[in-house]
Amino acid sequence: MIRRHLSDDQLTEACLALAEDPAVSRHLASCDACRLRQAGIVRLLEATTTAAVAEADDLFPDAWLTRQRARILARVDHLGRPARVIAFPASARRETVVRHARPAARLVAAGAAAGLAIGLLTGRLVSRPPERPQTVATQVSAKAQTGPTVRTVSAVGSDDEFFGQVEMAGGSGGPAALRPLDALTPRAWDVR
Amino acid sequence: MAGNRDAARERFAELVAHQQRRATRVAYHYLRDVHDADEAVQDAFVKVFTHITGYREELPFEVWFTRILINGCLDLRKARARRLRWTVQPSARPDVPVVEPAAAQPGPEAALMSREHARRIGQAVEQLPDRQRTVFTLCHIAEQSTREVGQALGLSEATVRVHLFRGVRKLRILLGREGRLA
Repeated sequence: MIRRHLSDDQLTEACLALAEDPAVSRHLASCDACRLRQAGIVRLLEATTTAAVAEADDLFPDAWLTRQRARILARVDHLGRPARVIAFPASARRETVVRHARPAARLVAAGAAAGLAIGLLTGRLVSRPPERPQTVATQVSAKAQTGPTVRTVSAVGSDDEFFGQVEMAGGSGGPAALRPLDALTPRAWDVR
Repeated sequence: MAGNRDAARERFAELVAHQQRRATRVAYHYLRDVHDADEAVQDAFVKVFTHITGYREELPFEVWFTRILINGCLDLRKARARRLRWTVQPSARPDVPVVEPAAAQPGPEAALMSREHARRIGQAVEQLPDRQRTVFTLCHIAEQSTREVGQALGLSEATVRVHLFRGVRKLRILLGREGRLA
């Protein structure tokens, strides 16, 4: 028989029924103090279990468990089924917008398109790129040198330059001044 | 074929209803998180359904199921640890309130006492080393015998007893001397 009081570890072992020790059992049967301490450990364990169970049960009430059960069964039902492909974007539903255009609006649109096409075509024709440069130097005859200053006229020059020269010639010397210009201009019978 | 499936589903639903409460208690006290516990329990039941052909009757069903559940909980704990390495914990962010699920309200004072009591015990259990916590949870919350716990965890019964003894001894120290909480 154990004369001294039992240690905490011995009492714990006895509470948990981990090891059957007849000496401990006999001591407990005869020692009120150790029995009291043992009862304290038993209460601690019971309180721990009760509190732990109560905490979990508070967090998972019956209604919650019912929902969880439904989710488990739903997952089981979907086992082995191929995953469903969801269109992207999932939330937006495709809608076909049907527009009913009125005849007047159609005519206006057609006219605008035609005008635009004509404008573009005309623009291209008017602003055609110049042909290959061709320098023509015309020598004015000595006879004409009595008139205004004879200059070399370049056919490459722009239209503005050409007409400017015409104006200059016309404004300064009268008919005689036009003769060089006349010389430049082809005759109708030459063209034929 | 469809009839067989329906019957199997029916029986499985009964099985879930029978084991669910115990499973959620174990998972919650192992993980200390409502959402993780929910996930662990769901996954465990789905695994049971898909692997039921692998079940051998030499083990009690509870033991086999507990093994599946605990393995799932372990995986979740590892995943959570990995996650926490990269994220800020909610407690470290004072602007984000921690949302707790609604609990039953028995009365303001009683609820407060009960919650405080449960919180202290939960914290104490949480501080136990992994093995001790698992063994304690299974023995005292899932109410399994040391033999069943040994089968579920793949440990000898003697080892389970040692872990249980050490776990209780540590709990006693953490919660104060016996009787103070009772």
